This record gives sequence, C-alpha cells and structure tokens, in this order.
Amino acid sequence: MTETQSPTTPTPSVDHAVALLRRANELVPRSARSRTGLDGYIQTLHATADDLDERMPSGHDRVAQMWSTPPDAGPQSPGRFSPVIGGRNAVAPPLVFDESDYGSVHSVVELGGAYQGPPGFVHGGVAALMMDVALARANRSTRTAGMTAQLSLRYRQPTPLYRRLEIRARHDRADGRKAFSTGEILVDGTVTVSAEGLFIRLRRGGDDVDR
Amino acid sequence: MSIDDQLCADTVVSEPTSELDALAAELRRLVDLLLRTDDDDPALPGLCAVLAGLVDELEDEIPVGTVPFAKMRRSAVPRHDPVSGIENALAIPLAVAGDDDGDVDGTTSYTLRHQGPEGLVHGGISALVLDHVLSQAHQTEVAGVPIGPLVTAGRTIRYHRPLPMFVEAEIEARQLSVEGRKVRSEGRIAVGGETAVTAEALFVAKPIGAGSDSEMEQQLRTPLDEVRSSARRPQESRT
Repeated sequence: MTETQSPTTPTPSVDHAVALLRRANELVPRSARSRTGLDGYIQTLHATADDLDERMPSGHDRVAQMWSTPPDAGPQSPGRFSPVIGGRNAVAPPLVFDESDYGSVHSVVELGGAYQGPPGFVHGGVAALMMDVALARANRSTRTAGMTAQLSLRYRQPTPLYRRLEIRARHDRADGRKAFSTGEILVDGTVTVSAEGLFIRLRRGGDDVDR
Repeated sequence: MSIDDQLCADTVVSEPTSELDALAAELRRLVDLLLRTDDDDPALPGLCAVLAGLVDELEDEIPVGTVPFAKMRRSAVPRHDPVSGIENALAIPLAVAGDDDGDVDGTTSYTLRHQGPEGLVHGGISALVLDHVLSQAHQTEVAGVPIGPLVTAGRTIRYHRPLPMFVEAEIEARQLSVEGRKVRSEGRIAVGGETAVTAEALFVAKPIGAGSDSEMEQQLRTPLDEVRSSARRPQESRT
C-alpha cells in the first residue's frame, strides 16, 4: 500500500500541515490533563488561524470552487477534501483504496487514538463512516455508483485501535438505478464489522468527495 | 499500578478548562481552515514548523505508563471521542442533552470537513453522528435495575433527504424498548423539522457488574507495548 504523502516532504503543502495536525491531535488526549507550558503554541496557532480565517475564501465559496474543478485535477479536486480519503482533511486517516479489481475495493489502515470509542477500540461510528465509503467505491468500477440510500452494519467484535485493519467491499448487484454492495472490516482475518449498502444513482450530477 | 488504576487515574467527572482543551480548540479550527487553504499559502511553512514543534513537545512529555485508552465513563464532559470529545480536534464537538427517559437531543451545523456530495453532508458522517447519539440515548436503569454498559450489535441508517452543510440540524435519539439485555433505539437528523436521516440500532447490555472487560476485549485490545512503539513510529513507515 502506498502512502499518498510522506510527512517528511520538504515542501510544506497543506497535506503536510494536516499530517502534523493529525499527529498532534492524537497526542493531546494522551497528555496529562494538568499539563501546562503550551500557551505559546496555543497563541501562535490562534493567530495563524485568525490570519487564515481572514484571508481564505469562506466555506461556501470554497465549496463552489472545489466543484468547478475537473475530477482529479489539481489541489482543489474534491477527493482531497473527503473525510475518509482526503489528504487535506484531518478527519480522514486517510484511507487509500486499492481498486485494481473490478467491482471490489480493498484498503489497509491503522487507526490511532483520535478514532477511539470504547477504551482501546474504534468508535462504532468511525467504522460506519469507513464502511460507507468502501461500499460506495465498490460500485464505481461497475458504473453503478450512487448516493447512499441505506447502510446496515453488524458489529460482531470490537475493532481494536493501533492494529492493522483490512477494509474490503464488493459490488453485489444492481437493479435499475439501485446498486447493492457488501463489505467488512477485519483484524487478523477476523471480521469485526460487516456492512451492506444500498446506493441510488441520480439522474444527473451525484459527484461527491469520495470519487 | 494495575491497568484499571491506570485507566482510572486520569478520569474525572468534571473539571475546569485545561490548556489541552484550548489547544484542541485551535487544532479544531485549523481542520476546516486548512480545507480552505491553498498549497502555496505563505502561512504554511510557519504553521508546519509550529505543529512539528508541538508534536515534539507533546511526545516528550507523555508520562511513562500513560494508557492511551481512556476509560469512558458517563462524565459531564466527553473528552476523547471523534464526535463529542472536547480534546479531539476531529470532533464537532457535538453536545447533546439527555432527559430522565434517556432521550437525547441537540443541534449542530456541519462544516467543510463533513462534506460528501456537493454542498451536502457526507452520508458516513451522518452515520457517525447517529451512532454516537444512539449510544447515549438509553436509561441507565429499568425498573430500578441498573443496565450495564451497552455494546452495539447492529444499526441501519436510512437516508431520506439530502442534508445540507452550514445550516442548523436537529439531532435526536431515544430508546424504544428493553427486552432482557437487548435495547433498541432510534434516532434522526432533521433540518427545519424535515427528516434527512434516520437510524435504528440494537444494543446488548453487558452483564451487570461487568466493569472490567470481557475476555474477548482483553484479547483483542492491542497490548500497551505495541501501542507505544506504534505510536512513536514515523508515519511514513506505516503499511
């Protein structure tokens, strides 16, 4: 599996800053709650945030900009903003999908403390978020991709943090504008979460960040 | 200290705002701001330097023996999770209020980080939020008998209408029934009273007095030594 970007890349791109932010975020809850000495960082980050807030296009304007870019073209293409696959979205691990097989996708990821639900385990909603994207992408190669209409999950075992997770999904069948896919999260070959999705292709449009 | 002692040591029900909260708040702002920033922005080199320094500082000061897995009690202020956690920059943070029946509700608005289709909230983000509130919408006891911690068995989410970003959305969840150790709940996200997403969930309550983890959980949870070495590994060496 290839990383989309190494944090040691010398040119500081947005993705580099986001990678550092992810790392810092993971360390915050592991720090002693009573710790001090961070005031300098807080103030500097606050000032930087204020500066960016003033100069950058608003959220609304950014949305308009993003979607006027052709797919996969350049830094503002929507994929980079995805909360699951996006290099520049700190919410995303990000997942990188291997889509070389027709009708199925595969990804490997290790999730850290930022995604914690029950102690030591992945938040059930994070599993749902990843499964939604995996199930949706599994339909792409069959040209039946659409918007999520229904997503069902079964939680069989807790999914551990800090372990190699496999995410698999495959297109199951299509029926008119509906497409069905199934998928799992596995740890050491054991299924922890299984999922089924129903997606509906719109008549037009339907682009989203996970393309 | 035993592992339970370690887990409990850093847990309090409520406390004043700490520097960590303030730091998390700034990191949280930056999550969306970086989505609005271009690669050639002059602020980036400085920001990267500050973040790199912060990472070094935090790494150096993590107390020996700290368990990264916080014990999640019903504390007044959620700390760590990616939906409500005050210390987690990925969190909204979503605040919901519960009543005596266990129903919870709250409002939030979704921002750039939550985008899926153009201008709309990502379906998986709705799933994440509903998972979270459904887990909270339960009574802690039924007919005077305490219910143990709940584990999600399954959930179905239905998407009825597109959910727009940048507008206030109402989120609610409530418990439907308790049969033995099975608890059913439902929840929804609506905008202006119109339902956008609904969910139904089935939970199983752990046996009463099961304060410690099941054997399965103990086996599955990554050993502390592996976590320490994993968490200190540079990102580029991860497979």
